[in-house]
Amino acid sequence: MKRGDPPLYCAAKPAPAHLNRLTRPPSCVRLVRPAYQSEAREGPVIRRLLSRTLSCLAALGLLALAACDTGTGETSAKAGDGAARTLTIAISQFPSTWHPMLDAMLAKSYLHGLSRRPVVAYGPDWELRCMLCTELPTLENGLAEREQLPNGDTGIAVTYTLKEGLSWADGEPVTSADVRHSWQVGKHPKTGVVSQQIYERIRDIEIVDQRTFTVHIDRVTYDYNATVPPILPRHRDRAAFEQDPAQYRHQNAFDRDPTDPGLYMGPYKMVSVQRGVRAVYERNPHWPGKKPAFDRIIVRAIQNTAAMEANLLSGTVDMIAGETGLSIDQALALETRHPERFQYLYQPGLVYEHIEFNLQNPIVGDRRVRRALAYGANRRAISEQLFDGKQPVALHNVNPRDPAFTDEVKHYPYDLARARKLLGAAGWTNQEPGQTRTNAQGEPLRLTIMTTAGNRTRELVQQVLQSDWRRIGVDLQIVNEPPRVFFGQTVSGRAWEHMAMFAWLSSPGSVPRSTLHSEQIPEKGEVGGQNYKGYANPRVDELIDKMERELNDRKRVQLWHELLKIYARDLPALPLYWRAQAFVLPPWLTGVEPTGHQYPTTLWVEDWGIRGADGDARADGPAADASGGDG
Amino acid sequence: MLSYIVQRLVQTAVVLFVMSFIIYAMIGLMPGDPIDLMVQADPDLTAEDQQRLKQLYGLDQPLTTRYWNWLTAALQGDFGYSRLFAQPVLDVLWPRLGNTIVLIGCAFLLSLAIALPAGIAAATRPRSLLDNAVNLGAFAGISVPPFWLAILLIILFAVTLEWFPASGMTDPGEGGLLDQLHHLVLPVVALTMARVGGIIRYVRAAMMEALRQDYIRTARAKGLSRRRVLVSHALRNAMIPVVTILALDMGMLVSGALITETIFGWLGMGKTVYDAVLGNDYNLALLGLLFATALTLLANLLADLAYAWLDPRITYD
Repeated sequence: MKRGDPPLYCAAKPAPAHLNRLTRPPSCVRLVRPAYQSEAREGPVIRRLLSRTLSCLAALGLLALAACDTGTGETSAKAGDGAARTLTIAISQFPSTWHPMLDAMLAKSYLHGLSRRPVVAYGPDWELRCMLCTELPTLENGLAEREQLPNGDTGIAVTYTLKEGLSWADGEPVTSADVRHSWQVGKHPKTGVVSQQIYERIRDIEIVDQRTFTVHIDRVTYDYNATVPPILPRHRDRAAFEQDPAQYRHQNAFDRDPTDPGLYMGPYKMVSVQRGVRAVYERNPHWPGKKPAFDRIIVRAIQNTAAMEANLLSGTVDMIAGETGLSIDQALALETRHPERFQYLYQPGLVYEHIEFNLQNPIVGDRRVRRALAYGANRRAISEQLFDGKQPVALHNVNPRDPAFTDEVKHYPYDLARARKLLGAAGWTNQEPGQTRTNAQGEPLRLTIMTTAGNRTRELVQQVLQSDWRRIGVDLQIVNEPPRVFFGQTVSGRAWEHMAMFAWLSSPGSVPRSTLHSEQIPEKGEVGGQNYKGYANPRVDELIDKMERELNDRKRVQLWHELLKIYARDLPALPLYWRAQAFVLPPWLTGVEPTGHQYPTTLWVEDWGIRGADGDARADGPAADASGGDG
Repeated sequence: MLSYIVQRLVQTAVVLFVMSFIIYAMIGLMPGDPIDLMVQADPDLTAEDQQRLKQLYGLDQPLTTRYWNWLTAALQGDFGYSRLFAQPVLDVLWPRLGNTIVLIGCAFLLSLAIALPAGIAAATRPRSLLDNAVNLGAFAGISVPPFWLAILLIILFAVTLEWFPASGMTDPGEGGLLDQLHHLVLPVVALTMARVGGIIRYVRAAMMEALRQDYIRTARAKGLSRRRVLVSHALRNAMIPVVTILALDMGMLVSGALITETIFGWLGMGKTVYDAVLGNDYNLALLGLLFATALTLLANLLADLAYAWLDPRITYD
């Protein structure tokens, strides 16, 4: 025994052998203090333990990584050389399907803009233009002609000719047969195409020759020359469709192998995709148009906007797409912190933020109350103070860039005196300013407003409105719900009491049948239209019917103006602002031109360039004049 | 032992069957369906379109009929298609499960590598400077919000120092082991820091309890080395409550790594199931949640077996 060791005490007799290892007392014990009182150092033991554990960990980590499927669903791509010009774009969503007709997602439109083209599209100037055709068909140029239908109605025949040299990225030509195949897929009730309106309107697609086809439409509507389906590659897609249309939505060529070059006919083709994470595009060698500036474009989906911003600052991504990226307040905050490092473009678009009234409710069903609320809301202050003026106040449901826009309608400036007067006239009075108004029965003027919980911008607007309307004696209660409850139950079931705040997305010149026509008021508990507010005005119904069939632009605009005057007068919804897209671009990128409508900037990707690069960049592009650009 | 395992596996199958109905019913009873979500994305969708799509997806059927259809197909190995990913659900889930296991597995091992020595060290010297430091670190780890920590790590190591990528699993065109390791570092560190504090506290408490026991005093009195007393006697007994906690943590495969996966763009189960639930992707959400249930049950079975290994007094015969 060493010096300092505790003394050893031994039993006189050994313990009985029948006792097991745990219960048998030891023959000798050394009395020591309990471990927690021990002053002995356990360092070497812990160090050994740590060292061994770390060794095991390293080995296991390497084994685990070897088994990790980081290439989930990723098809092999050509690895680029380090000198390749690569542009990396961040978006906040990723498409659920690559099929152009299944599901409508902004992220899919954005990605397809790089690699596919529609026959016609609205340009950044909001004018319809040919993308794949040689000339836009119109009644004036004779490429569109009225025709008599077998049932006596009048239809229209619209003839398109595809540009010469168009081919899929596998070298197969894009033909009229592809267009006809696309229509057949679109109109089949079992393929799962989301909206079948345009396919049902088309009676037939007649193949004139390999590049020319005529679309026969069963009615004459203002958008006759925009009624053409997105083109699917017949040579790749036909087998899945003909085999079983009911399984087509699962077995179509786009979702089976999205990197098949035969699916793309734009300036780029997708060469690699990791679903939910990124898609990689390289130049399409068969693209007959202008050669794009970048050898490769990588689009990364980063759903968390804080992480997206960090990726931008770290240089992992070059730009954030405006179509599906940062919200306006996040972009403004980023611009405040890094004003010179990036270009910032803000483009108000066709997302119409508004408050729908429940017109069946006796309080907000009274037009005087709705008007009083409009006068009592300082919408200009909301636009300027919350959004730095980047999201302009909406006058009605038509965007100022739309040809149908007019400002010759009733305006509702911030005017507390008129608001108070209107409320008084509607029977809501108060004894002292600031008090909640009451009616003759003594009931307080207490209104509820609902929106999507967690949407910070809308919640801020609600708070401003609550404060504004308190000044005119309205007690506003905020009752928000998660988006799926709000849209899936409250809005679609018309279950909100007074006001619901949300947005509608439209397209240039789009007739508001689904949201304003009285036929589109859904019955409770049934599938129906989207006139959730329950607005019914026979003259508005008549105008909508006429607008759809009026082909003369000037006359159609007049009908629009009358409708907008009625809208502003009746005020079935309180217009708030036009939501803006915020693009964050590197200072060297040129040519990105925000559109503000449903057609994304990527449809003109071949116009994007690198400032100062060897002659193929547009140094005078719109991005060069952007605020914050240090160009 | 074998009969015990068989019995537990049968129980697991029964629980999974019951859970499948409960989960299906809960998802089905949530407000809105996939078609309602489509309407929000496309105002041009007509009532006829909605009716047709509901019929096509079987959403016009009663919940019980839909469940029965799913169950009969599932028993034949057809778990259906994911609406969000346009792929068979198993094709979506398997790779993501693997990715999550790698992420959580590495974080789990790193947590243990830190928590065991730290917890033991703190337990052997209570109220010492080391113990206080370990406790401070543990409480800090427990208290720091994971999303904040993740963003902080990105700002420090990706934006400022540029040592690691801010997100993703590999770089395009890369994908080698080193590239994967490079991308794995920050999410593993974030997840480890979020979990290690709790495990340290469990280990410390369990070790302190074990070190107070008579058999430790006896072992020391027998003259056993400190290492043997600490590792073979104290730690082995202290591991029983720790193993229980770790087994219950298997549910983290779905929920726990959600924030880390989202912020670091790691393609794992947590984010996938979360998106499936929000996006009304019934098939994917159902199977993902059943995976999580099965893993939790199996982890608990393994924990029960581990008890017997850790403590020979426990038998299942």
